[in-house]
Amino acid sequence: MRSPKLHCIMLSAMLVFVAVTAANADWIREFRTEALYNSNVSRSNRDEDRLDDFAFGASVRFGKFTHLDSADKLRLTFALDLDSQAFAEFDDFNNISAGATASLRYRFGLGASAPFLRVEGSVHWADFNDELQDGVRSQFEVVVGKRVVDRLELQAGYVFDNTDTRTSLYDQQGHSVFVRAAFDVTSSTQLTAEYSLRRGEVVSYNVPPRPDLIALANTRLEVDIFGAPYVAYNLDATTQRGVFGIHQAITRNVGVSFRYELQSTTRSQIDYTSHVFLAAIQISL
Amino acid sequence: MFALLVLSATVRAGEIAATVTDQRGAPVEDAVVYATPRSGKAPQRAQSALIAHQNQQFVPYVTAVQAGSLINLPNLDPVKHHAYSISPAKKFDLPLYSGTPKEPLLFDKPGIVTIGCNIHDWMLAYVCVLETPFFAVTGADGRAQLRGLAAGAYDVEVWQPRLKGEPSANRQQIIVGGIPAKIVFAVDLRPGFRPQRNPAASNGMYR
Repeated sequence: MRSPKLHCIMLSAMLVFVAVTAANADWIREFRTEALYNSNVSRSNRDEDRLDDFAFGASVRFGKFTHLDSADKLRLTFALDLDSQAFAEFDDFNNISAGATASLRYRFGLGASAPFLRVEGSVHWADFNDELQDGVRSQFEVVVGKRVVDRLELQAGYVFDNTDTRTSLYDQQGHSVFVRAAFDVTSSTQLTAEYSLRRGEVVSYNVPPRPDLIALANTRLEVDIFGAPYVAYNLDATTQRGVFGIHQAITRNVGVSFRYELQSTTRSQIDYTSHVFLAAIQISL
Repeated sequence: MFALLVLSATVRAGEIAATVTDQRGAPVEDAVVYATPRSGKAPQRAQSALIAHQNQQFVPYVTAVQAGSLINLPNLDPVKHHAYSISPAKKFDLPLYSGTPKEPLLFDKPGIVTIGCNIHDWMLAYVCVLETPFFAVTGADGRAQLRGLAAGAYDVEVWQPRLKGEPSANRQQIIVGGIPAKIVFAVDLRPGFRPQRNPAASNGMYR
């Protein structure tokens, strides 16, 4: 909590939280722990620079949703989030973040099949082992969705993300569009697929000399994250993501998820790819 | 053998002991077995029933009533629920409430009524509204006992939320009289899909 601006944001968020703890509200109490493998945690585009790592994460989400009208067409959800991530090798990426998420959903009719429009905003303060990466992450999202048949829900949306840190190297902004599909294979098993396209700043770590990256970079900085002389380059780039997941309910309060994510980032002749495998246990009370 | 003897002894005249299995021979739960007098005149014995909101599920999952019956939907949970139906046989909307609604709902039109909760999308219940008062819902063993039937000829059908096709496709005729009546249905069911609370669901449960 080092930014005065953040204090104001958090205070405002708390006030909203108090406001929504009125009648018609239900609690959200969610806990999650995850393990992931990232094949290219350095986001390098040359094979010899590419470094992989494992990470373990835990998160807590505590909040409420409330119905702003008696027909529950308009729903406000507010939650406080606490997340942490620890990397097996490159611990400068270890971080803990705290913040709040608020979303407003309008449903055009009754029941699960009715189409909906959701607007969501979140603000989180992230504290990294590498202090240069500390900062405020905010996101704004607009989603439309519809359950087209009993088992299949489709969503499409737009996301604006902003990361404001101690150095312009890690300051990033991006605009994304996405489509998602969730298919209920059985009563307790869900398959998901997502494709997203993001245009915005990314940070790529590579071993110098890289005159090609210098020519493209908004800014660059030598870093000591990997125990070797890497340079971090802030670039404007296009990132495509494909995500496939399986989500299994174990009990009505416990579920597990397995996810594979392919990220491909391109700028001019430079591109890099990451494969991310994730396993998570979620508890919702 | 002993069990069969006991079963036969307990099936009295005026009763039908029904067994419902699926295409693989497994017992089918939550199937409504109902008998309609072939004379076409079913007595009116409309009653009242309850479908509770309990642990964020509707209990029972399947209810059968005769047309003209009253059903109330008490909320036994500490959170509010919003029960609704958009089924042609009975449309209703009970926005956000706790406790028991003052007025039960009248189900006066035969047909299948699907009930949902607008807050908890996985909550689902079915009401099978029938013209006849002779019906029963199968338990986990796939068995149901229809009682109080007058002697005579009946058309017996079965309905289940996952049933493929119309109930009339499985219609059987049976004579109820002085001897125990037994009936067995082997029905085709669609693959099981009953929404349930999934904490791992990708889109979150409350967003």
